[in-house]
Amino acid sequence: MVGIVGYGVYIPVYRIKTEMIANMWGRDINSVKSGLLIDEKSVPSADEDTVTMGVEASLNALRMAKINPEQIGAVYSGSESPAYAVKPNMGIISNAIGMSRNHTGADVEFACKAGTAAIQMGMGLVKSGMVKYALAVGADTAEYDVENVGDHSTGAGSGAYILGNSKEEIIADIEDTVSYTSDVPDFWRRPRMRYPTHAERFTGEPAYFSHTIEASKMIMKKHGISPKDIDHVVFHTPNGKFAVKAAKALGFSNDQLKSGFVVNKIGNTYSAATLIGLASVLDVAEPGQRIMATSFGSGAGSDSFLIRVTEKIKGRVRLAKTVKEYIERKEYIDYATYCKFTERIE
Amino acid sequence: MNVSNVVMGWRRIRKGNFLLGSKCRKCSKLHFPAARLCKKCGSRELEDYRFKGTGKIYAYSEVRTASSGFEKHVPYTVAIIELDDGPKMTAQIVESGKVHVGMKVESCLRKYYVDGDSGIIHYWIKFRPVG
Ligand SMILES: [Zn+2]
Repeated sequence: MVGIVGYGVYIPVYRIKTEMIANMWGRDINSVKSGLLIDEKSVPSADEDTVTMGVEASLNALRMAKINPEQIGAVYSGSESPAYAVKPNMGIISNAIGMSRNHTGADVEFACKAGTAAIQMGMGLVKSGMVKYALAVGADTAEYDVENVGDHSTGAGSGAYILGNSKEEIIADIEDTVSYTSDVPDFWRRPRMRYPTHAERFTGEPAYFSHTIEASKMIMKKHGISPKDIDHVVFHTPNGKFAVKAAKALGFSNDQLKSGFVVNKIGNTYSAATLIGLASVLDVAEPGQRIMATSFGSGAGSDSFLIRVTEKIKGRVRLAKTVKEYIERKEYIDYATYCKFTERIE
Repeated sequence: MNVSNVVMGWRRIRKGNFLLGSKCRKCSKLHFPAARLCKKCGSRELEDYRFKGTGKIYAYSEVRTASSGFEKHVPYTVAIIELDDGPKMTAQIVESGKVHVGMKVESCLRKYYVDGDSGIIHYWIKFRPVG
């Protein structure tokens, strides 16, 4: 058995409204909003990065798990915007949250699915008995060039999951995970380049939809279940519209999607997106409920998880700030401040 | 303080990244930063103590003319924080336009100083309003 013994998220306090960006670049506000289903996005402060956000989410996960951080034997940190190109985020995070030095780990990158890849790596070590607990972190402060329409969706945030194998501690049992991976040039960033490039024609059908749908179908088929057997569903959210479309294509209702749908209020948080969506579901889920969460990372791949909430979740959610509390804790900034905070002004 | 010094930065990590101070084994007095000699009873028997990171503002000042490297944060508030565990420390206050004496704050790790494009990123504890 392997499952979640604690989870936490972090979303920076600053927000910029979609119309602020649309006005700046002379775009039609309504068509941008209806095309992306994003009203506003989170913006990191000038002194925040994927390390500081990873620490915040990990501390929240520790508060919920109520374990001694010295018992965590592995940390995997997923990001496409790590603090350093060489020097792992995970070592700074593990040190800052009070772990002992007796642990392994690494940083991982797979566009927007590095966070779920980190969870899978942690699951393997916990399940095999190599470590007692593993910490998986997904954090991003992703960005596009300011004039690129992609800059409407890039948000900032983090999620952290502590995995364990004791039935007494697991608040959500990870029943299974499957992945679907292929070579698709839909989005990339070469070394030394600050901003990514995406291939319009590949972003939708052969990339996001094909991988998200196939991975989801694979896990449902393997367990002989269909959407009616699942209470909540979470998909990666490059924008809102893609997730809504994927849910519909697989036969899920808006009711099943809504608890984990937060992209409209924070934007696409990349490696953290599926982790924050899942946390948002766990924040409100009842014991016994079943969740399917499917991530997507450009390049491309999807990890799908089948999760069953246990009785142990009772009383745990309130031990750390919830996704809803982070979403409601906000301060709007103007476009100039946005540029200052995200270092677009040299 | 030479912020670009890598060795000095590394030595400060325990103190600045997670508020590690010391506690006297004889009289229980807490010290921040860590002390080798107890300021109360003079004992040399001190152990590591990790501060909880919560406290209240004891005094503060608003900085409008920043030194090099801190321009983006202007205006910002620097305060003396009275930690709930006892000792006082100086730190920057984030996420707050209005600060007052007695305001409850909690610690958070933030970037403190980034040494150009190729140097070390220094992280340090800052404080924000609770809630
Ligand atoms: Zn003493």
